[in-house]
Amino acid sequence: MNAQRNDCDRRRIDAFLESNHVALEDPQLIEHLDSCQSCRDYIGSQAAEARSWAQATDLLKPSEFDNAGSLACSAVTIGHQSSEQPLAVRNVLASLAPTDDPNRLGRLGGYEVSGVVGVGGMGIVPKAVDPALDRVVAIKVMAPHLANNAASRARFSREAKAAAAVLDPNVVPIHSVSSDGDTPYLVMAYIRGGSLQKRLQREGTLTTVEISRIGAQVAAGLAAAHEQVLVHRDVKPENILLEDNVERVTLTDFGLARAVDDASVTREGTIAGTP
Amino acid sequence: MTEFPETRSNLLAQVRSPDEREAWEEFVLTYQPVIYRMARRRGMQDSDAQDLVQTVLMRVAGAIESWEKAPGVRFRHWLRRVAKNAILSAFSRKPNDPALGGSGIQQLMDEQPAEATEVEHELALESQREQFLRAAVMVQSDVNAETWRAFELTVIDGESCESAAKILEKSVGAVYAARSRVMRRLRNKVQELGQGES
Ligand SMILES: [Zn+2]
Repeated sequence: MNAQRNDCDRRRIDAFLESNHVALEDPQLIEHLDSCQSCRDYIGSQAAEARSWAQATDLLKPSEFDNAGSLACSAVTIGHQSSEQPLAVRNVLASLAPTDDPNRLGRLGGYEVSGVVGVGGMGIVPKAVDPALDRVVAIKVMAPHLANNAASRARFSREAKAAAAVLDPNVVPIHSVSSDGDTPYLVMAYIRGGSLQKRLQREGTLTTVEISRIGAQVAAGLAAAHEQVLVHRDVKPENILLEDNVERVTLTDFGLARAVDDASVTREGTIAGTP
Repeated sequence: MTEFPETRSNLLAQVRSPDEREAWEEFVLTYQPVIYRMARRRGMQDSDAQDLVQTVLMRVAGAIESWEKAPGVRFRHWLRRVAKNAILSAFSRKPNDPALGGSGIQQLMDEQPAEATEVEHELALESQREQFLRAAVMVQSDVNAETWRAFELTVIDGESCESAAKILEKSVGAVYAARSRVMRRLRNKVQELGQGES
């Protein structure tokens, strides 16, 4: 144990800790702490019990899932940690209008955004509630940095128009489109379930019955698109959604779709599809 | 179209008085990340974990109307008990059976799955972590940046006071003073946040 010296002033330490004026400095005390181990121990033990110090160390250490891409769930993160969200996500969220519902992240158009269900190259897909109709929707929001790019905007609005034209049980319905504001977005039905991709990752191979069921419905969705002279061009497991508890398969993401007569869209040599 | 549980869009519709509303808001703030971390630790993807968070909160919100039938119980306490049971039951099931909907309040109160103790411990720890994190955010915004850094470097990042002093170009005494002051405030805040507990 370190002995107390003549110039130790414990009352001064107590006052320093209790002071509510965070700006209050005590240069003399600080100078004393430069050399007095006994007072260093004292100020530490008066600040909090050993247990609290240990808890602070354990609990405040960044834990593995503090910033694992969660948004709704990482409302509370310390300082710099929150900057690790993907840029597109942060940009889109920053552009949301405030909401007075503490359960929501913000407002986009008339929609109350509650979370993010997908992040892609084009932007992010928040999940939201349409208060007017009391239904859940998924909103595909174009990343702000792409919204400034004319070609990207054109592609985005093309997808919106193309997909909105297809009305079929096997194609995700588009409820509305907003392509002239700062942040273009399209509102579609929220399909509760997961993609075929996820299902494959989780369960491995599917039964023959499943394969033919899914295949038939994807074909039906594509046929409906073809009737609108629309080619999807990016059919892959990630874009095939399997609804929970319902044997329904829906096709989504017409981001690369091309109207058959729209020659301007893909010049020769332009690579389509998702690598 | 499928009926989504979220169709009951306003979770707060049942919470009327300002006191209850505040308790509910605080509850959501604390439990969202807690449930999320527990879900991720069990291998759930981000979106699945978020869905589970929504499902559990939805289930608790759905039970709120039966609170009035429990006279003499403080809303805050009641909320934590229901939440605890909903969380324990969510995480004590098989990973592929996140079935949570539809059960009545009685079931929610009675459920005590076999492996509850371990999950209970984890829940307690995660709730405590959330309190510390929330307290830390508040304290950090109260003190100046260097004071906070002195605490962060020495208590969270494991630097010695001497090396923190070098990094911050401050005296060692100043580091001791700053970290202790932050620690005191943090402890007080945590206690304050924990007041609604137990
Ligand atoms: Zn001394």
